[in-house]
Amino acid sequence: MVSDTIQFIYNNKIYKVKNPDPNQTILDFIRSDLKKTGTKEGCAEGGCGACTIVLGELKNKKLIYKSINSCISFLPIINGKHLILIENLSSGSNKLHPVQEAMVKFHGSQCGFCTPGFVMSMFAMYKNFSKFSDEIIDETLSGNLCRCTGYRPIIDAAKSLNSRNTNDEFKKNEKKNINMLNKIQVEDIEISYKNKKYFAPKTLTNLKRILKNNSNIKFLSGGTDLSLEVTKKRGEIEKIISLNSIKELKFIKETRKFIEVGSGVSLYEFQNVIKPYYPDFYNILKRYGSVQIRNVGTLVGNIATASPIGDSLPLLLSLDSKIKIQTLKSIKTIPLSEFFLSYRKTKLKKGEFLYSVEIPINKHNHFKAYKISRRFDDDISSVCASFNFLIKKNIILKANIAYGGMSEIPKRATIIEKALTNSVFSEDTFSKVKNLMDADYSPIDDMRASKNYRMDVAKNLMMKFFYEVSGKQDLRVNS
Amino acid sequence: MKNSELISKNLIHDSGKKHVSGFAEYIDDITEPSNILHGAIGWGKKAHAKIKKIDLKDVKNSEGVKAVVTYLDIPGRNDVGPVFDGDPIFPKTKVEYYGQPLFAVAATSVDLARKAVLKAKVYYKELKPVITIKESLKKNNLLFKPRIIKKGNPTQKILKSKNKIRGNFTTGSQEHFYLEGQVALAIPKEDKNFLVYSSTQHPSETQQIIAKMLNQKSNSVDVMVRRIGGGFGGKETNFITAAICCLLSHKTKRPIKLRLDRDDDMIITGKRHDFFSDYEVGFDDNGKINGLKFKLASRCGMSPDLSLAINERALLHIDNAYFIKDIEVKNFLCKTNTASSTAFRGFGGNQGMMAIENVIDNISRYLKKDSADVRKVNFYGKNKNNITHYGMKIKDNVINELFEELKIKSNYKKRFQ
Repeated sequence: MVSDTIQFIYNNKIYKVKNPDPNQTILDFIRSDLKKTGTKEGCAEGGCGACTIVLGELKNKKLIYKSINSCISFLPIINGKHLILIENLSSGSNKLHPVQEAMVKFHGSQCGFCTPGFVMSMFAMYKNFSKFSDEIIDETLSGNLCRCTGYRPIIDAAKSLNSRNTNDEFKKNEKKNINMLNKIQVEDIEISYKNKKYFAPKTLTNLKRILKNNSNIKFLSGGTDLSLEVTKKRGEIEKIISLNSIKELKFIKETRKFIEVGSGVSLYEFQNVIKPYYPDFYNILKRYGSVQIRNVGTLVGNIATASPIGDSLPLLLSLDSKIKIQTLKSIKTIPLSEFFLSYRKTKLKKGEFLYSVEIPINKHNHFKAYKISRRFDDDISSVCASFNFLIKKNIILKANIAYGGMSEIPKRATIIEKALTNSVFSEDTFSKVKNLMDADYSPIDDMRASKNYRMDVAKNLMMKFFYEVSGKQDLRVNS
Repeated sequence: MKNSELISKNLIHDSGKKHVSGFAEYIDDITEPSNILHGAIGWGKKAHAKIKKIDLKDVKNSEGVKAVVTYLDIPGRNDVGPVFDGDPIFPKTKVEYYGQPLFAVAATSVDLARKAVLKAKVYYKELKPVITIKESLKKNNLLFKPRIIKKGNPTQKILKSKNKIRGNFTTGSQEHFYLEGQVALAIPKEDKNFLVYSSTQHPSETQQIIAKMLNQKSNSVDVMVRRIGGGFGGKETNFITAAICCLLSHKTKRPIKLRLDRDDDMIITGKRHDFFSDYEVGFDDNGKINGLKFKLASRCGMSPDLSLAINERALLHIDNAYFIKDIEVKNFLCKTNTASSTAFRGFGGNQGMMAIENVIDNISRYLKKDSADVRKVNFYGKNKNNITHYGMKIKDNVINELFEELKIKSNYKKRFQ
């Protein structure tokens, strides 16, 4: 069955839109079509959070609530979901949701323009957690900017929710909404709007069929990068194929030797899976965009965009990850290090896509990762570094080092690695070898950092890794 | 009611409930009239250049475009400068900063308007731009004659001092990033009147500037501001959005909404003045300043805007809380080919205060003293040492008591370790 109509729950009813413009953002739909103006446009690039909305979706028969940036999400992605807007939180102007009450009581608004976004982020937290630790609150709010200096009262408002009963209108209607969601999650989507097409197949077989019949088609997972073509560059994307409805791609396989992550897995989901294996991977992911971005953006999507500053890439590279490429006929596996060709160019050929990434688990190795950015949260790195070492009897048996932000592609420091291998794990070794950085990389000057700064930081991070592993100094400062 | 009750009474924000529930109305939220058109601004892509030709044929023919306006469509004053001229709505002959508006369109949707302006072909003869404060000082490219405040004989006092240092200090520029970008909605009314909703901090001046642009009486323009989504000075003299919006409405006789795209907003509008200061200071072994000479320069951008007042504020705040008997401050207002720097929280005061605090810190470092002690010996006194460098007597001075109290309450000595 194929449908040209997207369906979602809005205001406790099933809402249908036939052949919507697949380049229309959810934000535009909310403001122009639904005529609801509580959701604001701040930056139109997923950076400020003023446009935050919440999507309810089914996972293992349970409703989970995801905050997302509606300004960089295309409308069709709400198919099969429960759309929750700021206006839906209070059933009338006199009956505020507990989150809204807290924001009023603790003076969490000044000019008020960022406020609906903060409320929606906090609402998602309220629904997904039962206790709100400082860590959860910080993470929740990392994707929302306030400019009137209101973070302290906003954080106070969030903390106060710990003493609130978590029951709300949404809890009451949960069963009804789950039933409705089950009803509308049945069909493949194929949308035609003027010259544009949008496909959301539910199986790999259908995906391959569509790819065979359509050339110049853009893959959509989170779309946090792709949508900027429309919102910032004023372009149009004629053909989009969404990977979001394909259950076969939404898997995480954990074995003793590796973790395999399907291309439909969001960064947010992945960060909790990788945490026990590589805590630093988790630490970096927590600073990757924001919750809104990580809720939709995928780990594999980060690989496919091949950005030189993609935060997961140096980490995956240093861990000797492999990727599985799905061709029309079969799946081939290659090392990630062979995937990137030049600036944003990869080995992917037409009709091919990334099926999954396989991350080896090695408990004996020392794994550390560092992100240097101008702002701690929700920022793009100037330099990102990742180290994965095997050290025995103070001899470096394996030295895997990868940097982001240091060249046009994320890549391993092969010359440094070679010089370190079989050397003594000592300050002296690192002090000498770090000077080979120029041989491995020639970074550029840009608005994030100068070439010299990048070089210095890259070298210093090598020393930091040494000091941290040797345990002599505690060098970690958190935000 | 006792005073303390009045001060500590916990009142919720007047609009709090509306803010948190999405019902607080900002300009972009106002229900649009059915015949509305949407505007977009086309801007120059050179920092300094003569305009040879602007070809707008493709813009006019772009899908959905109903009107294009240039400087030729302005019936009255082609300037939005609040105090001095220098901020043309659309320049006639010369682009003076990267991002300067050159024309605007009205189209049937926001998207079509923004797509249309990208189709302009502008031909320039490039001129050498002046970008930094240092370049500007070197070329003596100033908006006004340098301003000097002098008291006593600082040159001699520095010369006689046991300790002297020279230094310089920079404070950077800053984007306002009001969460709600620049936006205006203009609705034509009877008798050539206009109702203009503008996200401005200064409705009355918006009214005057639009009236002058249209060569109409002020009372023919109503300006409404219910609330704005942050301003911080960035919406104090940014009249260009409302002016262009109203000009498009004047031309099309239809309601126009002009909401700047965030990137356009950042590129077109002015930011905080960055400052560069050079100083020479003489002081005794306690850090007491005997004489101080300051050169205080700021990047004002391509026009005066409010730069004179902002620099004045820096000049007058350079004492912060310190009595400096012999002092000279020279202020340079640098003209640069950048967006005109404008009001921003503190309005120059903070830049001046930062400069003197840096001097104090450097004296402390030089003497290897706790900077709190150096601050203390320089504070204004209650009954003496209480005349500022511009001749005002300081009354109700509590800095000495306040500072001591803060040191104790904050556990300063212990935390200083």
